[in-house]
Amino acid sequence: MDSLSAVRAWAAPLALALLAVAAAAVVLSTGPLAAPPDALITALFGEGPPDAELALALRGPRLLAAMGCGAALAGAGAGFQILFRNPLASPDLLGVTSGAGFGAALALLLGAGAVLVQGAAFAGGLATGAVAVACAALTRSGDGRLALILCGIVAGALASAGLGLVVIAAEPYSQLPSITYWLLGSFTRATAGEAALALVPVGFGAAILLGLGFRLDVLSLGDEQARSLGLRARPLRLMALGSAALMTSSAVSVAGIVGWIGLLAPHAARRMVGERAGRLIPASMALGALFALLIDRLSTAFGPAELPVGLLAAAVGAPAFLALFVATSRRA
Amino acid sequence: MLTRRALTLSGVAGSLLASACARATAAPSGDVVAAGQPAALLIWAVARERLAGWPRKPDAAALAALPALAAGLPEIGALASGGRPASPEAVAALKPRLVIDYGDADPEHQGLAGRMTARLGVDWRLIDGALLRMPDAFREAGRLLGAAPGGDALADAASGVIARWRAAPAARAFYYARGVDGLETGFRGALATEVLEGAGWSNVAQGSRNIGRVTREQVAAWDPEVVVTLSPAFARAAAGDPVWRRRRGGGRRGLLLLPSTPFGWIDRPPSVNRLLGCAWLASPGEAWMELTLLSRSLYGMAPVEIPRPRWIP
Repeated sequence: MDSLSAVRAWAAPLALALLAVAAAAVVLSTGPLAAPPDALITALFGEGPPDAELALALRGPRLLAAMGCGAALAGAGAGFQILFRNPLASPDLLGVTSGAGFGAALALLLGAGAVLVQGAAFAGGLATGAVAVACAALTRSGDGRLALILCGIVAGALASAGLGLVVIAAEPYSQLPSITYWLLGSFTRATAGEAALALVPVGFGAAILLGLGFRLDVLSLGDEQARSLGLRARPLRLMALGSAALMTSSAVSVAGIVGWIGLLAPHAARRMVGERAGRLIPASMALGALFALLIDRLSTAFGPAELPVGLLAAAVGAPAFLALFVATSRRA
Repeated sequence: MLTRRALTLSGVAGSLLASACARATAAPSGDVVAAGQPAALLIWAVARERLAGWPRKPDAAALAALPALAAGLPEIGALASGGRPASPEAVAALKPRLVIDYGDADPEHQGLAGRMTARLGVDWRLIDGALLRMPDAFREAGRLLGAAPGGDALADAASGVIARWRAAPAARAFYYARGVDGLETGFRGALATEVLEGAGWSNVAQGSRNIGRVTREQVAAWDPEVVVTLSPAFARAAAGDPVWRRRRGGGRRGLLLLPSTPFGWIDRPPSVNRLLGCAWLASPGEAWMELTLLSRSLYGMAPVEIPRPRWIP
């Protein structure tokens, strides 16, 4: 029975990943440019009709951005939840999302181009996370989890205040709509190069989190337990936090502020594969990619005007989270 | 057509003369507050010495193109429309004689005018900002600001421009690219694209009659002949990007950069600045003298400062 459970636990992340790939194939074959699947397949090898090649060139980066960002936010959310032993922990715990929003809005206010806006968002997110960690290091409260949460709230609030200031200073007929649309989230703004550039730190962060594996489980028990098992808790925690913040910053710099994925996906994945980090993180990432694909597809399902994915993530994610919570509590 | 243009040119020249005369007998300076940036541009065009301050100070490039008076005016925030809100107490402390709002004249804004008059104790006048009613707006502003000859002359010029703009032959299918990535657009019927559509240009973006975001694939599916933008940064980015430049049939898509300094020719803000876009679209190849005179009378710009539309190669 135990071995059967283990097989099921490992099979779930793989099945979810395959499901995400299948969903990606479906999404890749639909869109405003009428390109039948066989034409898309031939275009994949450079021999398709021009419309199919164009559709592939446009849908590819979008798909990459949606799946990469969804996976990054979900993986970071799972990491934070494990580290803090807190089911309400989300990728914004260190104020990274607010910091990225502030960075992007400031760049838009200064008239920067798309690449610089993405870079400013990435830098703003990481800087805010670093401020939260540095402030927490100044305190001496237990193993530091509470200090990190409080300092994250402070750093995020400061970044939000800065964002408010930028919004007030923005030109209302051009800059303000751009800032608003950026903050509401979209997977369409990234070109292939920009999406690929952002996915490098996502991959790096995910590799570290996955590599930490069982050490994350030990860390979640507290510093003393970790030390008794021969682990250096503080550097390991910093490494894990840095990786999660890196993934979050990269995702937000590409997509804008898209909430709920980092909260919902780990909870849903936990029901399938349990608490262990080595399984929970990949399963969460696969589910996050799938959820991001779904809301991205929904964002253009109601006409040519794109609905912001941040709004859709909340509209779909919040009820789904509630349903999950009710189902879990009834089972318990 | 030639007679109309001659009438327009003489109207613009008349407005220069009339505004010069009006300045000699102007009321005390800086005693009229603009409720929003559109109203500020209207007041600036008709009687700039009466403007108490900017709802939002123009950027450095715009201030460099405008007469020195523009840079000297304080930023006081907006009482209506978007932007940093003004403090009603600070506005009252300026002791203005009049507040002018220029924009939607719907019941909501009329109600706002009544409430703000009672709150500030200052007369608040709402002028209809519809593009086709711009001549009336110039006349009304002229009367309110004690600059009726200048307002009437601008109104005559605007009437001529708008008549020729509406009679322009149907032109190209366009996509209006806004924002740093160009994916923000004005849908057919939106205020942002009214100047282009009124000149017979066909907006490929159909949907919400407002501003919204679309995907790159959607733009490619619409396959516009021309991408129009006010953003030099986007124009630079899109110039060599095949997604923006290559048409589905194999041809090359035009990329038109319209001037945005000191204010946009077709948009941003939705005010009298749009008259320049109308004049250029009415006769793109022949309107240079008229645009020079209009820029001079609307903004006080020197001819050397006036930018031209650019077709990006």
